[in-house]
Amino acid sequence: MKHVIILPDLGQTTSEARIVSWLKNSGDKVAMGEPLLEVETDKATMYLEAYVGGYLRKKLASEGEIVTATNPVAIVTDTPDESFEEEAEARPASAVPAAKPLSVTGTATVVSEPVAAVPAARALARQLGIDLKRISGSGPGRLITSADVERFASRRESPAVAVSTGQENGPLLAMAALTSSSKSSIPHFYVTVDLDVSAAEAWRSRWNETHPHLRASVNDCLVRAASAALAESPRLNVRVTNGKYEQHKAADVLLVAGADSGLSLVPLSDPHAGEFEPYLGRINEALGAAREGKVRQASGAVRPVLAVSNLGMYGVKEFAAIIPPGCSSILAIGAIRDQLVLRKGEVETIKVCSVTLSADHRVVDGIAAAQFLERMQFHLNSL
Amino acid sequence: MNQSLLTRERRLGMYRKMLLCRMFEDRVNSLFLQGRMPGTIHQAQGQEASAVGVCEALQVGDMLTSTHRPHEHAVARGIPVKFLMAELFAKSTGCCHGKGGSMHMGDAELGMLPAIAIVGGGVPLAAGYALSFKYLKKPSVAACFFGDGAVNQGVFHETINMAAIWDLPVVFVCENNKYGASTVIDSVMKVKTVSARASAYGIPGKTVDGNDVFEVYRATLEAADRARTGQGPTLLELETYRFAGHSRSDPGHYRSKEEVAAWKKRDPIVRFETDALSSGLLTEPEIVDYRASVEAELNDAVAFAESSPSPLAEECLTDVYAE
Repeated sequence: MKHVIILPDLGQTTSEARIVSWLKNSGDKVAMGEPLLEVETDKATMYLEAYVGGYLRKKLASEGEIVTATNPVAIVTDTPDESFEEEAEARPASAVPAAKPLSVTGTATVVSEPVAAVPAARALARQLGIDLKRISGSGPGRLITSADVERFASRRESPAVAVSTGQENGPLLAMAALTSSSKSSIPHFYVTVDLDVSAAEAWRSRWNETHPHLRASVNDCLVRAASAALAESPRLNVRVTNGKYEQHKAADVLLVAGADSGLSLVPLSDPHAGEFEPYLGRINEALGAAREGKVRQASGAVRPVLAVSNLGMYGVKEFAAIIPPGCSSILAIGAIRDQLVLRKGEVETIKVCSVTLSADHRVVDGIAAAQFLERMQFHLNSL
Repeated sequence: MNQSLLTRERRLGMYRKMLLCRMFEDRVNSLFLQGRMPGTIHQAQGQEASAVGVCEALQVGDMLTSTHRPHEHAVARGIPVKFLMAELFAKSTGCCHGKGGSMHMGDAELGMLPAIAIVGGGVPLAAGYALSFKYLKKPSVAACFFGDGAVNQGVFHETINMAAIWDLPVVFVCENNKYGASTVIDSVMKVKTVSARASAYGIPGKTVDGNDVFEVYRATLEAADRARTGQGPTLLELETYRFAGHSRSDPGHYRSKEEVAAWKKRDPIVRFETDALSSGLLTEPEIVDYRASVEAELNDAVAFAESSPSPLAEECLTDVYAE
C-alpha cells in the first residue's frame, strides 16, 4: 500500500520549509517514527519522521528545495517491490473538509478540469487577468485562496502590470494585491539622504537652452544617475525570488509612473547607457505610454531590481515607497528645494532633493544602500 | 510503595490509563504528520506516571487544573478519549465543542477545568476552587499541574502563600521535566529542588520520582488527605521528562542524546511492564492484549472525531461567557 508523506504544518510563522538533507535513500526501509529528512524552517532545523513504517520509494522534493506545508515530500510503500501510482495527489483525508466542486452559475462555459477556488480568489484572478489553472492552491484539497492569487500576481515575471480590465477598480485591486503582498513579504528598510542637485540643475538648464525640442527634467537626470550608480553597486543589484538569490549585471530601472487609471510600472533598460539624447527619447516614450494607460509589454530580458518613484512635482518633501514585487529596492524622490549651506565660511544657496531608498533587507544592507546613494551624488555632480 | 494495598484491578487500571495516555499522544503525532489534524500541539510522552498517579488519587468532585501540555492529564482524569480527539479535530462533539483545541482540553463537569495555556495560569484558579470548596464546606480538593517553567512566576508565589495562610484544600503539583521550553531549570533556579520552596510558605514539600506511578499516587493521596482534612496545601515536585520537544516545532536540540537516552531507560510504562512481568502482575500476552484494546479505543475515537460535524458559524459566540 502506498503512503504519501507530507510536510506537516510545523506551527512556525511561515508555512514553508527548506529540505536540508535526506536521511534515507530510495529503497531504504524506514520504521514508524524514524526521521526521513531534515528540514529547516524560519526558526529551527528539525527532523521529519515517517508516520508509517515501510520502504521509501520516491523522494518528491530534493535537497535545497522549499516546500509548502501539507505538500507531499515522499512516497512510502508497505513492501519493497510493490508497484505504486507515482502521482502524489493532495492528501485525501483532510483535517478540514475538502473543497466541494463549486457550482458554476450564469453563462460560464463548461471547463474540462474545474479549478477549485474560493469565489473571492476567482474574482481577483479575473480582475488581474490571471488564469486560475496556473496557480497552485494552498487551501484544503489545493483550494485556491485570494492569498494564492496575490502571491502569484506578485511573482509574475513581467513587472508591467498596468491592468486594463474594462472595470474601474481593476488597477486598484492589482495595486492592493501587489503592495500588500510586497509589504508583508519583504523586510523593508529605509535610507534617506539630501542629494545636492545644484550641478544637475545647472547642467539641465544648459541642456535645455541648446535642446529646446528635447528638454530634460531633473527627474531624467536622477533616473540616469540612479542607473549609473546601480551599475557600480553590485551589492544592490541583486534580488531574491522563490528563495533564490540572483545577481544582476544590467542596471535597468523600473519607473513608477502615474497613469489616468492608477499607477503604471514601466521598465527601462540601462538608462545610463548611451548618449543622453537617445536616453531622453526612450524615457519620454516610456512615460508617455504609461500616462496614456497603454500597456507596455516588458521584454522578458528587462527585469529591473531598482524602481524609481517621484512625487516631487506635488511638493512632497520626502517619502518612503513600497518595493514593487520582483525588485529589491525603490528610490523615492522628493521636491527640489533651496537650502542655505555654509561653505568655507560663506553662506551659499544650493538646490537639494531628499531621496529615500527603500531596500529589501534579505539581500541588501544599509552600507550597500548608503554607498549606492553616494555614487548617485557623484554621478549627479558629473553629468 | 506497598503495592499490595492496591487491588490488582486498580494497579492494572493505572497501567491501562498510562498506555492510553502514551498511545493517545503517539496517535495524535501520527495524525499531525499525516496532515489530518490541524494546529500545533505540546505532547507529554514520558510523563504518564505523573498524570495517572495524580489523577488516580483524586475523587469525584475534586477539580484539576492543567497546562499547555494537557492531553495526558485529560486522559488520566477520565475524560473519554473520543471527546478529546474530537476537540483536537476542532469538531463540535469535542470536550470544548471544538473551540478550545489542544491547549484548552478539559471538562469541568468531569473534574478538569479546561486547561489554561498561560504558564502558571492554572495555579490561582486551583486555589480559587479550593477556596470555594472550603467556603461551601465541600469535602473536595483542587489539584493543579504546572511545569518547572511556572515556579518563577509571581502568581505561583502569591497563590501558594495565600493558599497556605488560609489552609486551602489544594495540591500543587509541579511536573518538573527539567526544561521550561528550552530553558534548563538549573539556570533559572538557585535551590536544588522545587519542593524546597515549600518551607518558605510553611507547608510540606516533597520531591517524588515522577516516573513511578505508585510513588506519585501515594504522595498525591497523602497530600489530598491533608487538604481534605483541613490541614492545607502541599507542594509536590514530580521529577519526570518529556521525550518529545516542547512543541511540534521544537526539535529539542538543546538536550543531549545521552540525556534523552538515560531518561528513556526510566520510561514509566516500560518500568511498569518490567516490574509487572517479574512480579507476575502481567504476562507478555496480556501486554499485547492491553495494547490492542487501547489501539481499538483510539481507532474508535478517531473515527468518531472525523465523522463529527464542525461547529456552526452561528455557535461562534456560544460558550464564551458563563450564564
